[in-house]
Amino acid sequence: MEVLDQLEALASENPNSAAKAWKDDGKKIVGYWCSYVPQELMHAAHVFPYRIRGTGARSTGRADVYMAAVCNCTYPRAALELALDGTYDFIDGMVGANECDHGRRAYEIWVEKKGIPFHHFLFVPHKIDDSVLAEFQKELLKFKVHLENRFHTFITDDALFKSIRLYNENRRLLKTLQEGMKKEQPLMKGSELNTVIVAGVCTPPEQYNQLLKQLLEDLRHRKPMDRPRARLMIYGWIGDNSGFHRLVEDVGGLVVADNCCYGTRDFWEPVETDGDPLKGIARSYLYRPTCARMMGELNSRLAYAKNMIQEFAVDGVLITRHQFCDIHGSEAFSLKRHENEMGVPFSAPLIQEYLGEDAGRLKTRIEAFIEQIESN
Amino acid sequence: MTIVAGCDVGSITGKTVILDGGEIISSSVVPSRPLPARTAADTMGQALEKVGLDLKDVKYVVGTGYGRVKIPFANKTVSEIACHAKGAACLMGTAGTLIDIGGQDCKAIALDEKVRGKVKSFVMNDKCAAGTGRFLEVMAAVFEINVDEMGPLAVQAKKIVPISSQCSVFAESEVISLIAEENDRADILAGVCDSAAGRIISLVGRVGLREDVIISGGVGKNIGVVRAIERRLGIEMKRLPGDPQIVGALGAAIIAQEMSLK
Repeated sequence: MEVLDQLEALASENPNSAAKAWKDDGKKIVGYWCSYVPQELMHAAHVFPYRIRGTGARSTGRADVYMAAVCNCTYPRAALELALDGTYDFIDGMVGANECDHGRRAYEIWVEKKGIPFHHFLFVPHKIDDSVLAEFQKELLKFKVHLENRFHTFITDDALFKSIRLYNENRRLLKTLQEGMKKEQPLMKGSELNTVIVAGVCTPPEQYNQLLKQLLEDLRHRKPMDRPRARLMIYGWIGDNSGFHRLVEDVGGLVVADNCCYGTRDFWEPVETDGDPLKGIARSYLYRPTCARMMGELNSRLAYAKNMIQEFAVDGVLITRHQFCDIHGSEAFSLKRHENEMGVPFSAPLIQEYLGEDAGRLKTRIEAFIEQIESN
Repeated sequence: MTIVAGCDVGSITGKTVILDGGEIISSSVVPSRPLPARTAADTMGQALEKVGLDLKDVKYVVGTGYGRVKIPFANKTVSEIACHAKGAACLMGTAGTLIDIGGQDCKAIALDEKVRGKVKSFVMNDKCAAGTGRFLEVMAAVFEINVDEMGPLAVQAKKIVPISSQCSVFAESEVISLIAEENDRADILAGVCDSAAGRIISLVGRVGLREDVIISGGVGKNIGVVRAIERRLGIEMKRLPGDPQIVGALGAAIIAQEMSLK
């Protein structure tokens, strides 16, 4: 399908055609690290929010000078590598966040070693209640003012609502695609859907909207996929490319649901469109399905996973993480303890480096997990 | 009778078990070649030759091991986790926990309490050769001995010289230093076996220990490692009535038998 090829190119090239076209028009691009950084604010300031990833990195030699390979996650190291080798020279600014310590260090080293015209650090709360909501709203206000000053614009409430509605439309379309995975024989592979989701973090929302609509239209004429050996959920790994999904498909499984950074969490709930827009953004981002970085929220994540398992008829959950990921290391430990409440088996944690699929080793483990499910 | 086979292409050796009416009539273990298809041909050829059979006499072949997808004559592939569980249950139905240590990976498998040969859960080593057959081969090479000699030497140790490095590469240089310091060879080898046991113990802890515990894979033949695991677990493992190295191929052959009856 042509539209899938376009989305695949947008997701896998760095910089992609959308970023190049945007720059050719003389407009600004701001890179951002964490899914808790609201794209709506940057869009309303007329800049293109482009998520920082490691896409295109082949090694981490330059980054390893500052972030030792023996104890740091490959994902931020790969992203930092692309800053140090000049790949990311096309961005005009960058927004960091206290997402995880590894990502945060990479952001700081980037700012110090590379220099960048605009950089902003967004403090994202680690717990969720109404007392921190006001604090997060203040942080978003600081971010808004910083964007306005740097890019010589004024972000009106109307402009912000317009951006929110646009991104909400993307969320609605993505959720429609995701719901298609409920079918016994879906119209898309899990790897394809992942690629579509990833393209959304590095494509202007107007263009992305059109592509999603085209995709939904084209899918109506597509033949359903074969029935998989097992319907699986991926829980944990960053998921900014479909490498892991393809390994699952290679051994006859299908990823039908996820709880990953680049995945359903981002589009499951729309952002509020009434009242004060900053407060609405703060509340919607804070109260949406949570990342494992959020403390005291294990129960809500388990509830989200359980709902996914039931809605998408999941047969088993693949627990995955990157080597040295502290957040998902402890999450995996907690998940295993709650396996009996979830109704389906959880795999032992599958550890993957960001660069290099390590296909043989992982496929054996995934296939054995599928066999375990099949024998039940 | 129905002749079926299981072919397990591992990183260091290729193994085949041939069954006739459910009875083992032949088996073989050969060193792995660079190409898995060659290893498969070697081991299958050798096992067939022993009993004067030809590949066309074999009704069904199940392939397993890291090279399973490259076995040209396999009718079906099954992961080595399921095959080891199946093979071990055939030899020792009462087992609760199966430890398998092969050439490049080690795993702890919790076996189902009710269904014989069924995997309840499993964990495997991460991307690291520590505690695997390859690790022991490297250590044997340092002493210029055959890996088969390591176990009998290690059990003669008067004390265990601890190896602190987890990494095979660093452990090698550590052992070289220990030799230079004129430590007794048997004592160092006991330390090497203990270090390998340490790796597997952490995996067993993660799936949960349930007796009886049995060990399969080539390293199951190393009495030094077996005793070190027993010492660390504080229990005695049950000995399999057969070669632990062919358990994966046996499990594959049993699955082939089941498939041929379908």
